[in-house]
Amino acid sequence: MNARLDTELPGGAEAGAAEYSLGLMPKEEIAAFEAELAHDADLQQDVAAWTAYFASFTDMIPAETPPPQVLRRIEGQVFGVEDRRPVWRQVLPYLVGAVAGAAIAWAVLWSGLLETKAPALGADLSEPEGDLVLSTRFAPVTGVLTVTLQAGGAGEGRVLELWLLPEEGAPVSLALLRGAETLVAVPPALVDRLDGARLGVSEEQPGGSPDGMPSGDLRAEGVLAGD
Amino acid sequence: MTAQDEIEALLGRVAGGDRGAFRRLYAAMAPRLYGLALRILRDEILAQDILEEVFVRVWKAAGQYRGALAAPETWLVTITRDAAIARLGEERAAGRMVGLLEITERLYATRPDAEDLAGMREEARALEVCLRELPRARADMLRHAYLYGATYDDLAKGAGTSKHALRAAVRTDLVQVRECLSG
Repeated sequence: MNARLDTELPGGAEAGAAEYSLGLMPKEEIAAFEAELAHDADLQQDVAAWTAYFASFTDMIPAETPPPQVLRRIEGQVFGVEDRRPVWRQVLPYLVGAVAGAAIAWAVLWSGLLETKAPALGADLSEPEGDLVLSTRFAPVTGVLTVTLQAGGAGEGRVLELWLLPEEGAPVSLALLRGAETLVAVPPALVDRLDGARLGVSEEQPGGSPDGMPSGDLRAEGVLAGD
Repeated sequence: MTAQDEIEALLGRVAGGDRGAFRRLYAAMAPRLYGLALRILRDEILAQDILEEVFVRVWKAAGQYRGALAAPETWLVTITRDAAIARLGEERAAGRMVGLLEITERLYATRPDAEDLAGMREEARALEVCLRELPRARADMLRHAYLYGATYDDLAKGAGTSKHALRAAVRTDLVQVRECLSG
């Protein structure tokens, strides 16, 4: 605390610590106070104690549930695309674009303007003891994973959900498989992780997995690999 | 494990990049912090921005939390309060938010009644008891400052006194409160 304050105002550094914690300290005094705070353990304790007491002003304020999109936005920022919200919801806008994108990509390839070195990837997903069989094919040019149901299906009133299963970290929902063929626009940040990636299919309630994780045992799985 | 210990453990795991812990921390703390931001800003969109800012910061900076100096909940409440007050200052400076007169109204509801004391946490009760030894208007000024970002300028205008005289009085009050809390 500088000398001017000590002489002109009562309370000294102790009152300064309280002003600082309350947010009442005038802006022009904060830098000098923080410089002192940095090497004064007693002052740090004072600030910590005031901070804890003043934080209790908020105890009476009722909690409010934030809308779910806030967590989605936060996860989008901190986890990138790897969050666990069902990707089938995230990718709807992509999906519309992907169909147009597929047409454009086809035209570009046809005219020989674009050569892609990335090979197409594919995986057959089957059920160890059951009749469910799916094939998947990923086209790097379009970023679209095509999932085709070859045999079997979900139980009555249930839906199949496709997952990317990273070696580390949480499964990423890719899509709900409602029909014989599903086009999944793979978010760009996931594309590089597809080669050699494990895919799995779980059976879920109609809206998809309620908790962002596959429910029960996987019904089918397989590994994406080049042709 | 107490709720505080649990939040501290979650913060430690978040610092290590544990996403599941991050989601559990959000589930445990977001309603409290959102309620706080909403009370300060009185605007759902702004309060949601603050919540987003706070949790993104928590993900990036959970390692900065120092358990020795603050309880985990205090840390989270403090960074939320600071972010909301900073935003309120920006909104007011831009003329998009009302000034002190209107907040005086809403502050009234924040002062706990006598019967609330029994249900309070220890720190809250101790502070409230000590604040009751101050002139009521000046105890309210401390709440104003913490919850609505009132400055000495704002408070002096509201009280019709000079900034210097008010600051001297408030600092004297703060020393008295400190003695009361230490007693």
